[in-house]
Amino acid sequence: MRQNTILGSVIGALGIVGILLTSQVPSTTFTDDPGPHVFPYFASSILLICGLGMLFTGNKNKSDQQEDPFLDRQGWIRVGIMLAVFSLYALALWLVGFHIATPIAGLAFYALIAGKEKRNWLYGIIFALLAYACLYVLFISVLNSFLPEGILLGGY
Amino acid sequence: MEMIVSNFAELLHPLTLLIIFAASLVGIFLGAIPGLSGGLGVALLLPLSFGLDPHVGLAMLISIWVGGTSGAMIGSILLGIPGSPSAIATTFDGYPMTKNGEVVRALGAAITASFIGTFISIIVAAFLSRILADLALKLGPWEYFSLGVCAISLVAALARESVFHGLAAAALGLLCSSVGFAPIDGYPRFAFGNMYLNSGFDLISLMIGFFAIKQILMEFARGQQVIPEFDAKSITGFGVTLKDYTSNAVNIFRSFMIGLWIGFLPGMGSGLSNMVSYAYAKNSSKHPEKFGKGCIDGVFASETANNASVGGSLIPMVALGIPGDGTTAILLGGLMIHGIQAGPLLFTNNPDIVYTLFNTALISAILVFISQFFGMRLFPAILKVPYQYLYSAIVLLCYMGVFVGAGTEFNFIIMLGFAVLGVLMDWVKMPVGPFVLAFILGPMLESNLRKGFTYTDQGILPFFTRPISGILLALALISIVWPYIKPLLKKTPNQSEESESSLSP
Repeated sequence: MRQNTILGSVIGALGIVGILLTSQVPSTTFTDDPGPHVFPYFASSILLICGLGMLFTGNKNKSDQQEDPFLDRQGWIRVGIMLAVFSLYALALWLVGFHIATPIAGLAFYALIAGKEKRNWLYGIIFALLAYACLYVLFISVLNSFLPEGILLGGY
Repeated sequence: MEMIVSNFAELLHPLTLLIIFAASLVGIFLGAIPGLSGGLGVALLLPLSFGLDPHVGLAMLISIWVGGTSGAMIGSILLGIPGSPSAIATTFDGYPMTKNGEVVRALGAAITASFIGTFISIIVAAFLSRILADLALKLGPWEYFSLGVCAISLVAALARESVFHGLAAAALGLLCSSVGFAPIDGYPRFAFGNMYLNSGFDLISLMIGFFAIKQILMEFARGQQVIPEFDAKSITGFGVTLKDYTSNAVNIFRSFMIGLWIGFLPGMGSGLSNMVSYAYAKNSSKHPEKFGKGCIDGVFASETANNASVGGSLIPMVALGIPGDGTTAILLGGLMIHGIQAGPLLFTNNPDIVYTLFNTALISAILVFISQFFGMRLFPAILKVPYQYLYSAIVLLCYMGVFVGAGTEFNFIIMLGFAVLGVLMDWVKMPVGPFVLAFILGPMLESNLRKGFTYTDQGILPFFTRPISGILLALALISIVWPYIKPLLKKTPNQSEESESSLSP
């Protein structure tokens, strides 16, 4: 209910931002071509209309009254922790590359997902090394792909 | 005919066959595990297909999809927990059959129904796609634009919360597809000087962010499901008798047609077809009171329909370039990555790819049938796989896949950004389906919209005055306003009771 009203405002604002940004796209149109603006204008206008629609119909919608909350406080904290670990792994891949970051991240993911009850550090280390080896074989040996080398270790 | 045979020979090469077999098994495995799905598998292995020959890569993706759709019934029957929404109706009778000591009969029925649904729907799809593609060749940019708008509107209108939520998700997808160089004249848009955004958001990063990373985030946030134990010793033999098949012939045929049709409609894949066919099976049964208590008819209906949707959703993808559901949207992305444009010209420009798609699905259906038939006793083991290893491995694979796709770490930001967007969209009840469909169809829509303007000097008018285009736009409009008109067309009390009771087990 209240969520729909807030969402409607955000979506409507996004539509307005989209229209403003589209108006700044440079172009010279020819013949009858409406140019590169027409499509983003089309999408932004739909966003704006939907935002207004949600604002006006938000209070009439009753479906979210009886439903369980999407995530509890603990759930949101877990999303935040996992996202932080994901971001750290991305950063580590950029800085130190695949060979250092991946075994450590494999162990970190294992430890986090297993939780205190199921965590076994020895199994975790074995898993991390095995996962690293499998990825190495799959991407480097079989597919001949380049994997992140890390800018601190001479990569680019 | 010669090309079909040579394509089969190519796919039956030992290494390719091994990849199809392995991918089918991965599909069954991911489909069986609650929370994961074959669709996630397709997104996950999309980057790997990049390094393979297009035929082998596509064969791998199709096989995961086929295996995943069929494998979803394992959790439904053994535990009463569907592996994916495509097998929800299978739990209604599959799980009671397990509790009644008929686990083998339920699994046997589901395995054969899955095979019948997939195999025959692929053959039908192969014929119908050709006919539809020939018709589609007569369409101009006006009709293509309207067709895309119609498909997106139909999917958006299915939004659980409101049509506005679905349409807003679609509009967001269209806006995201506008990032980067514009089609036709190549003007840069919304890149803000970032060279990595000049070619738009990377499709692989977006797909993996939305379908894999988001799913892992949500599963971790909600905590692991406690999976009940199941004794594999009770699984022996096959259990289904010839009488089971003959008495369900009409049920299987009807469910097949429902699955094929619903799969064909944009956005309405196997997740809906299993419920509808179950409701029809119950309503037309001579013993509806047995449904929900372990009636084999319910398992046949649900499993035939959800697997028939595989063929149904391939028809618009191959013939028109319009994906039927989320997984076919990813498959379409797979084609685009290999520089292949799906649509009516696919039959002329890349007939070998068309044959690969259909032939692989047929081979995979057979392999899935054989491996499920002989591997039934291993099903309980699949459901016991420790999540801490599985999820961690999936995440590591996602990162490498995203990097390999474009060779830049910037794509990690895109992947994580879309994973967060996916979580937020789930939170505010905005469906992801219309977003993905709009993102994939965006460039096609834009170029056809602009071509439509330049081909005549009548501006926007032909979009409404050309018959097919006008009808499609009218359909799009009706689908959007229908939820608001529907309450005005009041139902009789009897009708509403009937429709409610038919879906309850």
